[in-house]
Amino acid sequence: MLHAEAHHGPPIANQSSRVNASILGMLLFIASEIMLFGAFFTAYFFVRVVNGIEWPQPPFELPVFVAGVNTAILVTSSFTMHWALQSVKRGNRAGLQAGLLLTFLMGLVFLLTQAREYSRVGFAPHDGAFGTIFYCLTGLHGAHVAVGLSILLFMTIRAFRGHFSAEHHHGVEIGGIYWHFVDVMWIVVYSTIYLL
Amino acid sequence: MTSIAEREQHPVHHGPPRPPGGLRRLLYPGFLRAAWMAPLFFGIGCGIVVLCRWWGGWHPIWFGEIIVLVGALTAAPIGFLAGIGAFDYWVRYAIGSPTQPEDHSGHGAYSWKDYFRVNTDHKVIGMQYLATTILFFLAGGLLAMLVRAELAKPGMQFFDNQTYNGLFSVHASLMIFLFVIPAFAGLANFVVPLMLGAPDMAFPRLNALSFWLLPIAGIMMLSSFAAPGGAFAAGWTGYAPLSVHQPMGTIFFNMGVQWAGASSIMTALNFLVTIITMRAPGMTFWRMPLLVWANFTTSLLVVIATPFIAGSQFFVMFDKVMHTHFFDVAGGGYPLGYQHIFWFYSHPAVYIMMLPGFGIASEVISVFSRKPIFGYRLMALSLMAILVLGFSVWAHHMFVSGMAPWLRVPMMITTLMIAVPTGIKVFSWLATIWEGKINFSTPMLWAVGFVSMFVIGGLSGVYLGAVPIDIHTSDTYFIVAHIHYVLFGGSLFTIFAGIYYWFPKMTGRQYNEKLGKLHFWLTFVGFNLTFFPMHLIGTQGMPRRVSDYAPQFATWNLFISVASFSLGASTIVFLYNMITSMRRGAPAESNPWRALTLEWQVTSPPPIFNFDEIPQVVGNPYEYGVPGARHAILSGDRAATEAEVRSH
Amino acid sequence: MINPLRSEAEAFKFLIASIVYFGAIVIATVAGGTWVGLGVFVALTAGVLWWWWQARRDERPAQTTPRPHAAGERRILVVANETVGGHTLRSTILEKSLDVREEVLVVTPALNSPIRHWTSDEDGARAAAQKRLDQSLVQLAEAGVQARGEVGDGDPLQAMEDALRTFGADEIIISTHPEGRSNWLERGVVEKARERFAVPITHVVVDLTRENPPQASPEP
Repeated sequence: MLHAEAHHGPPIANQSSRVNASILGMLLFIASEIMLFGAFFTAYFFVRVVNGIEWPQPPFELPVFVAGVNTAILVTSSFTMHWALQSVKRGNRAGLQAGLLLTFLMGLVFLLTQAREYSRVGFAPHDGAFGTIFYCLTGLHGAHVAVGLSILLFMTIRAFRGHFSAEHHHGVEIGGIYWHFVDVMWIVVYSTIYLL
Repeated sequence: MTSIAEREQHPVHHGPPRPPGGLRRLLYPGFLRAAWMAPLFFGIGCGIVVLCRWWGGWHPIWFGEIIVLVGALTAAPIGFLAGIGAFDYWVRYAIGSPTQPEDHSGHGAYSWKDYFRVNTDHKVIGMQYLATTILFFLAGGLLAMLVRAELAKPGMQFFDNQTYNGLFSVHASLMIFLFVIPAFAGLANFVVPLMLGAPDMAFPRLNALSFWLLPIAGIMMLSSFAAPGGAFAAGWTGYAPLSVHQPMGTIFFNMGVQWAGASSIMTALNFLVTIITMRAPGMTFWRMPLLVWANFTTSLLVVIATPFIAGSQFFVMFDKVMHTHFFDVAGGGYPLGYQHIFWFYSHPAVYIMMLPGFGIASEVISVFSRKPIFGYRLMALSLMAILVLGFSVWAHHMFVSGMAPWLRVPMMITTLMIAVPTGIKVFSWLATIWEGKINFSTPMLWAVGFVSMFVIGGLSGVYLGAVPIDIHTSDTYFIVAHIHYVLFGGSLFTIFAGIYYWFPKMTGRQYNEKLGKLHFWLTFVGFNLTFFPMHLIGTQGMPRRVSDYAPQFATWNLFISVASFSLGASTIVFLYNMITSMRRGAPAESNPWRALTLEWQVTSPPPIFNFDEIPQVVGNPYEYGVPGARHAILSGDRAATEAEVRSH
Repeated sequence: MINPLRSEAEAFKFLIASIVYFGAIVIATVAGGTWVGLGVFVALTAGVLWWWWQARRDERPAQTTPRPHAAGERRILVVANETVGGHTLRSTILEKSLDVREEVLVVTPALNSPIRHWTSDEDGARAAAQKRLDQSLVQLAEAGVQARGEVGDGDPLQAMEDALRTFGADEIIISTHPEGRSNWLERGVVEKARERFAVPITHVVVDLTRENPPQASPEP
């Protein structure tokens, strides 16, 4: 009877796979974001390989060293993220909070450093295809870092409000996966744009 | 909705708590709150633009295009979504408020008002999708009528060239992004969780958000007509560099595609997680109905391919608004790159627009022939084959683009290869119908009509796959004929088949069978009269996307235009049938078609939470005519005897 | 197990692996030139693909419990292909159903060749299984066991699972040919059934050539 059952809620769905639904959802989302980066990398391929422009295009230069330090910062932030998760799994609340906070701060430093480099690099997105690809690819990554920072902020707020525990830390797990994706993407972007 | 009898007996208020009276109503999620939040966010967006431009020293500070882009096309829609409450739960989660226990008050439809708010019930969302997409179908159809009115006679009668170009561009964009793709998503949204034996989709709130992105995208595309310079006019394909140098309307298309694409990706993600993790006990992948297989493969296509069109539209937007050089040769850009990136999505897009239709056809043909689907496993595998091959054929849209010649033959080979799994499906449908006990009700008419029309469209596609023929017929009306045979005769026919087939389940009422048949025959005749002659004038050389043409094509164009008006008129029969049957149709039983799949084993319309107890699947879903075969056991069944569906 | 599908820890390992992967390619390119870098890229990618192929693991389904049935009766599910006529099997069933009101369901899986399985050509397999089933029921009736019968799914494990859901057996008797002649034993049907089903499973080996002397026609 519609009336009666509307009060006792839905039946619990059968779990037909051992993969957790939210983690699978995050992985699929990451897959679509990888494809978005793929579209930008395709444009990079057309400009650099097919058109064969010099890279970096003279007279412009790329801040390889600063970006390298930034890379180290971002990679370290993934370590602190992992540490935060290991802490909460062991019930170490202080470790979780410290880890999340450090990760957020390092991510923020990364983003602000990138922004500063944008203003100091000496060329703009409209300075030829080289400028276009550089700004758009790193900018796309920066946008993802910004999203990641927002997620980290929410996780940090919730961690400081006492929300996660050794049994229930799903929110941190999923945010952690996203943050590692952002880091992997940066390795790819850094290698292809700055180094190769 | 609750059944008619129950609503009459129990006029109790269900659903979310009543909105507060007075000024506090402005803070309650809904259209009222959206009415002030959308302008507020628009203002914030404009403010950000002005601030950035002032700080960067870029003049003019009030640069119209960017104001529109950021304020109207990005910030205001976010404000609207926030206002109607699509983000409420996540915002509370994010700021660390104690999460409220789920009382399911936002779930389900108890009155018509529940269809106009953020609702987490997949059945409600499915109906919202269908209603919205039908509205955009009518808008797109109207634009087509305007196009045909202009083309009825040589010379320009009603529009100037730029406006005419806007007409067919918006027509195609609405039909593709706002009708075919989301209509299939809507039908699947309603049916798939029921078919799987699940109480809802994996992420109901995300599902609700995906729906509300759609009207935003549609309004954006339609409102491009009001932009200075008119609607976007470079075709739905929007090739650079033409689209980069168009008036402001083009960014309405760029952004509209992003919103529609986001909606599509979220829905696909939801389907994938639901199908993988929420199947009923005993439902292995090889016991899923083919509609579920079709939506599974389609969702994979969407998740992987859609970001490429997002990328291509971002690049055009950046080239236009930020003066970047993605597609500008002088700056070192690569114009052909647009076509590669665009078609890498847009070819899989045509499979996104067809595979769910294949699934619907399999369901309808099997039930109305009272026979198991012929070669079920190969049908599922052919869907996967089309998925994989579909990524390897995009450059067949670019045979005459001036791309590297060596790419043409491999693309031709892969294109012709796709005919194989598709052919497997066509032969399988025919073999299913063969010697079946056929019931030519309206859904079956549409399904059989689909098979025949899709074969014609598929054949013209095979011809077009051959490079020499494509060189001759590219950008002619032969292409227009091909695409309409596969999209109208293919996708639209299966959408109608699905709507008629699941109408009793969705509304609890039967549609008018005579009107349904009338709708089919008027459409079938009108459609063929309209589009078949296009093959002829195409091969004779009439180009597509032209507002005027050489006098030798005049007779056929007049004929086609008149036929198209009759085709448009047939839609009136459909609308009348749908509206009157929903209000006054005969009440439908739970299983009017005597089908075996799970959605037919519950009431029409289904209970709010679909099932009292998750069913247990013990056999294939297509064992019609096999004595003693069962697909599933539902709660309350005693072993092997009661309530099994007789499969005769 | 570096499959980013399961958890954050695995995503983290994937990150480290990516750093190593890209680091190696960049170092090779910078040190040795484009072709060396390309070579390293190809080699590493092949290595990753090979490793991934090796490391894929099977998902084990959750255990299936039978549907509950009325008290005071014992339900026995017999799964057999050709061996139901065996004397050993008959006596096992009789033993288990002494003193108890028993309901015996015999399920004969509709075994099929791989090609017919993938082309969904099941009619012949069903008909053959039905014939074997009818024969078995007759023989069981002669031995005093009143049993019902059903043709089951082509996969014996799936057939058992379906019967547990519909019939609600308290125990399962799987009857096979001896080792060496049994296809099922080779495919580990009995072990997998024990893992998968939460009911006691008895494995009965029936050697039909020993039970029926050679002049009787052997099973096809």
